[in-house]
Amino acid sequence: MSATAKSGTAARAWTATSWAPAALACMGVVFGDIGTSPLYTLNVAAKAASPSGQVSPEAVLGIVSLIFWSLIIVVSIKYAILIMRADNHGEGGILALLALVSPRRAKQNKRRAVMVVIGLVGATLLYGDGTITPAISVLSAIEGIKVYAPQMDRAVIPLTVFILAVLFIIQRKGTSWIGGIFGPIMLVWFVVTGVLGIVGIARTPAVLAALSPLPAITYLWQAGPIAFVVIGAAFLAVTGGEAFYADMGHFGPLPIRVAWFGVALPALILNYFGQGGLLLSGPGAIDSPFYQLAPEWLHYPLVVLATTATVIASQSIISGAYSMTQQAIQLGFLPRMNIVHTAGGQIGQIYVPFVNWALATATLIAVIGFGSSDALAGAYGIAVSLLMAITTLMATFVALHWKHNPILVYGVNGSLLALDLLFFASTSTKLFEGGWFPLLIALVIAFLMLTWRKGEEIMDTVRLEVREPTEKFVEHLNRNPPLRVPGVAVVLGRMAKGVPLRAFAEYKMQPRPVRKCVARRRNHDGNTASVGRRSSRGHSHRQRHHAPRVALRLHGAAQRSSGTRSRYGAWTDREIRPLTGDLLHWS
Amino acid sequence: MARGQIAKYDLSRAIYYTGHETIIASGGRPGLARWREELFAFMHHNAQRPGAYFKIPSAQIMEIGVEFEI
Repeated sequence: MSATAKSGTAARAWTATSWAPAALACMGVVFGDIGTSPLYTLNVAAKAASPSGQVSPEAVLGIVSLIFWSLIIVVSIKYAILIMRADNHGEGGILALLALVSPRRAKQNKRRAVMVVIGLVGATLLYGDGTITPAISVLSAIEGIKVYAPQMDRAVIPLTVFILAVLFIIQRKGTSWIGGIFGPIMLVWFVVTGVLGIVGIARTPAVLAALSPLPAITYLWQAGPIAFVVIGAAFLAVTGGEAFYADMGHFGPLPIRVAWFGVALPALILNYFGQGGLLLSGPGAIDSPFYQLAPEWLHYPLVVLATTATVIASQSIISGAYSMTQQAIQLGFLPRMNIVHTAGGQIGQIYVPFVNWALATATLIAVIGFGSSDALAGAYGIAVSLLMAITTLMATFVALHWKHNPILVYGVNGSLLALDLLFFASTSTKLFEGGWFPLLIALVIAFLMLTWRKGEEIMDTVRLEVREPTEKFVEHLNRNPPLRVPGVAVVLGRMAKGVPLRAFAEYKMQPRPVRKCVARRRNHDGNTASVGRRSSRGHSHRQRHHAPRVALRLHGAAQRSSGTRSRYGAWTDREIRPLTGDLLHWS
Repeated sequence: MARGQIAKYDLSRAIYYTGHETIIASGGRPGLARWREELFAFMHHNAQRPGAYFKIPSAQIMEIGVEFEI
């Protein structure tokens, strides 16, 4: 995700020359997941529609139309246009929404508490999804080798496991050295899939009838209960749309919108229509419509390109899991974990060993346990559809909070939520075929997060009991002037008021520091300036022993524009310098 | 404190005080069931220490240990 890092630091004022590289870079990060969906979506949906093995032309048109309109409504209108407006100081993602709905310092009430639980489950669904996406994507790309060589069947799983294992192992080195080519490769991928789509459409132009929503509506109407399964399968086409919002903080909305509407969306639409055309002309292609669009000489290069694209998609899912973990730690939902900064100061270039190995284990279990992309499709979708419904729900609260016209908000978000719930209900039909897997992962992590948060709340009251008010501390110092030795001491604390650990002041430890810069680490939604004076007493009272108090906010979740390096979350020797600069400025 | 005053201190030799909290689950406080307190204490025990999290050189860290019963 190095592209992320580079553009993440860029200024927000986009000019024509600055958004073009950013749009290219974001293709490698944001569109990997949704861009590789054509590998499996249409054949899963077509198989769902034809239990007998023969897919009817009405079904093909209905499915293509359903996919097309899902891409338009769910991804383009809901995510690319609407949800991306709800940023928390440039940050996106469900945790940012959560911070908007329930600011840390706002009064906690029942409704907020419920929203926190819902939002947390939504966030952890990303972990559940993160175990499935790399598995299904890489597996479906590798399955391409079976098309002309069925005897290669037995090589698919070992090869997939090998590629994913290598991917997880090299994570600790960081990906900045290779990240720059992700965007261009995805561009090639979109161009190739788009051109293949045009070939398919040219073969059977009748598929263009699916541009109208009518084939979808009439087909689903007549299909009976099977319609649910088909909708659930078609939903696979929009999975990955949630990344638009999650990665918004890295790129800003404009490059994502430009790349989506300019390149990715047209390419995806062309490809789905091309696959539909192929199925219309000869239903024999149902096993792998994507690969059969291509002429035979192009097949193996295409398998390689598809595998590369799915590895890129997996990479951004993995990086996303790291940054969400970092965000969760900062918001107080997870204990501190070892976070390795793989590329110096670049944002987004982090590696969280624990998350990496947990994710690797779960992903490989998914590959081996489910064994094929068709089987994994059963596990896929349910987590994302629930996440999307939760996102819509929380965006509604934000929109109301921002005083948008309530009638409009309820109308628009209500219809979007109805659609989300339809998708969720459809994907839920696969609960016992594997849907439980990502849900279980999400629920376990959500439970751990809630336990941690509640425990920290209890700990905060306990810590408060051993704190001393600043006034008393200063008074105490004035009464018993401490022996002063030269030097600087920094006390890391987590609250803005009072002095940590009364014991510290009373049991003869306090004489140590001369000028005690009480640099406070404040974790939670740092929305104001990164450094602020906490006390003006230093000037007005001139106490001899007053310790200048400096509040340093270190890596709050919304620190991107703060201008300090503190957001990287590390006080390395290199990074202490800018902090000292702040100290000098404020003390 | 005037600007620059702190600069004469060598910050590479500054001492960073961090807390080292040990949590003892006793079921004594409302909010979490006993076994969740145990789980919390376990997570807390395995959390990375603040000094390491902020990448402060070990030689400059002074940890103050406290036990909390919850």
